[in-house]
Amino acid sequence: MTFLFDVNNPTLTGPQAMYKMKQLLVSAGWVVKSSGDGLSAFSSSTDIITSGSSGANGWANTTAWVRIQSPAGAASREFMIQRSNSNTAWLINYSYSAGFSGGSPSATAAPTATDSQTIINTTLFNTDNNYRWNAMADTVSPYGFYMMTFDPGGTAPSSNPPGAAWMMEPMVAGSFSTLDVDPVVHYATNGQNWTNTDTTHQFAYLKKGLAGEGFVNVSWGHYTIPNNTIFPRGLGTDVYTGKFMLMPIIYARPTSLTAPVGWKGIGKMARWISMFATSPTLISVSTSKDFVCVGDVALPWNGSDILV
Amino acid sequence: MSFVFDVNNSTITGAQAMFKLKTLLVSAGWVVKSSGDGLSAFSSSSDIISSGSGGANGLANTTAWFRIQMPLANSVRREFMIQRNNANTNWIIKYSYSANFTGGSPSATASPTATDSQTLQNGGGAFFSTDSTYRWNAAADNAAPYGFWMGCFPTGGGSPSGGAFCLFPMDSGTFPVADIDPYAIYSSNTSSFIVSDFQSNTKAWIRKGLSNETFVSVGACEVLSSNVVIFPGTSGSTGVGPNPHDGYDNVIAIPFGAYGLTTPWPLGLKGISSFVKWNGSNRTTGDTLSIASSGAKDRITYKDVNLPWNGSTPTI
Repeated sequence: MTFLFDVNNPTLTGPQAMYKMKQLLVSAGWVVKSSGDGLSAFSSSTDIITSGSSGANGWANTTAWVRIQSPAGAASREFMIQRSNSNTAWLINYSYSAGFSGGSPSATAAPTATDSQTIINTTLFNTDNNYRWNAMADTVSPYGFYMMTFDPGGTAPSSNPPGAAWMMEPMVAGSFSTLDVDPVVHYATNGQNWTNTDTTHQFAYLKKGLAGEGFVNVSWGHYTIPNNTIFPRGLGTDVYTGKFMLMPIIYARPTSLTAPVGWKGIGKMARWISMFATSPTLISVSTSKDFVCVGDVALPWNGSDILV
Repeated sequence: MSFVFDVNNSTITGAQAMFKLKTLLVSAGWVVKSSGDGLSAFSSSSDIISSGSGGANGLANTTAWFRIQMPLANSVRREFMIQRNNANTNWIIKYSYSANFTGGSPSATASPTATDSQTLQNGGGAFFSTDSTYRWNAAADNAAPYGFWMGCFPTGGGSPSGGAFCLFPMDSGTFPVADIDPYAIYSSNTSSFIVSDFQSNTKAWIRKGLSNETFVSVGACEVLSSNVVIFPGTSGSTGVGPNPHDGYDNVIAIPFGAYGLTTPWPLGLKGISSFVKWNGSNRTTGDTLSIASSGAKDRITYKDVNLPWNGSTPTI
């Protein structure tokens, strides 16, 4: 895996952040297949969104949208990302393979996909310019990515980072069934971001392509020793080194819920942290400053200091 | 790692089980350094225990004992001192990280001591169930880090009860690099291989060799998803269930940590086990799982966990 980053930005608006996310994904190999600016500009084959501003070819217009396809090419994962009626509210739909080639797309109307699944369709970002935004995209299959935000000045350890969280989390090779053709988990939310108590915003296919398939809530699991949560944020620092400890995150849907249920896999990027930390806190695991802590998780980081 | 096994035995006694464990460990590279038969036979340098029976050179005599040493691992040679108390059911088990059981005045009836000795079983209560009422199985890794397990369940089937003794190495890369004794030791004379017992009867060194070192209980971590226990699957929890895609069992290695069981500092993560794993579904003890490949029967379930198995069909 080779991670590309867009970090340490000034405070942004929602469309600016989403524009930068699009650009980062494109630099990681994703392709914008069609787009509309919510006004009059539209292309059924290319990217006409050239800024996060309002006006022509901007993304800060109501119903402006982008269809973006995984580097894997045709019949691979796609997202349709559309600004709703404010900079904070967004619609993100996911297509496993059919692609957003249906409907009657226009400058104001987004395309549809026969296998479309909604990741989020509500407030995603906080009020403009009230947060810091950072993102990462993997250039290597299965092309995971994340974006996260926190308060300018940092978010207190006991608080949840504000605003947008969006991640496509690949499962670690070998941790998922060989029959699972879509081994990724999607996470998008505003509020309770990156906390183990947020168990309702992780979605994934179970049994994709098999009888009984479903795109369902597949929450992340936390670790306990008799009724005490130890991962995340319960175990403290390593008693040998004083450093943070990290734990892989298991994704599964309990059998008590509606079918399909069961094991999804172990996440590749996000890991639980062992103690409370200000969001963001940089930690060094394999190399210097290679993870950033937000909420209850640590995410890959590029080694730089972080603009708080 | 390559496991050697002693499985599918006839019902046996506690002394026979411990004799077979000794034999198995020796076949995996361990060395009996001294021993006494509780009568008159004694050696300060070798193994004079030749059976699990009573009488001369047998282990089924009150105070019969042996001291057994692990091959060199992490620069030390760990040892256990195992002694029969006044019945085949009652045993003393002690652990020495590195000092070894070279002290005291050992004899045919008196076991040696170690300056870093830690007691796992004190012989005061029954460790094994009543003789010849249970099946005993065991496996030992013949390569570093030389973990092993032994466990019992009632003849004819049922939940394990007592006679559990396991040395669980932590998997490489999962424990702090400064931890010089990355093992958790499980010994249980009660409802064994269940979550709560794993959390109270598994012990390990924390900060061994450093200030504030302590030998404490290290709990086995459960995993919850949407506030429902998904690992392990137990009689009270269906667990994560069979894999929705292929129907196979999902199992996970068990993280061990000291938290809420002991106070104060040092607490913390011990590591993630290398071979004992939580069941993903509620299983009957003696069920086999095929994790490595279809039909492999490479794991056997003991209540809430599963352990390495040799591919055979277990005798119940």
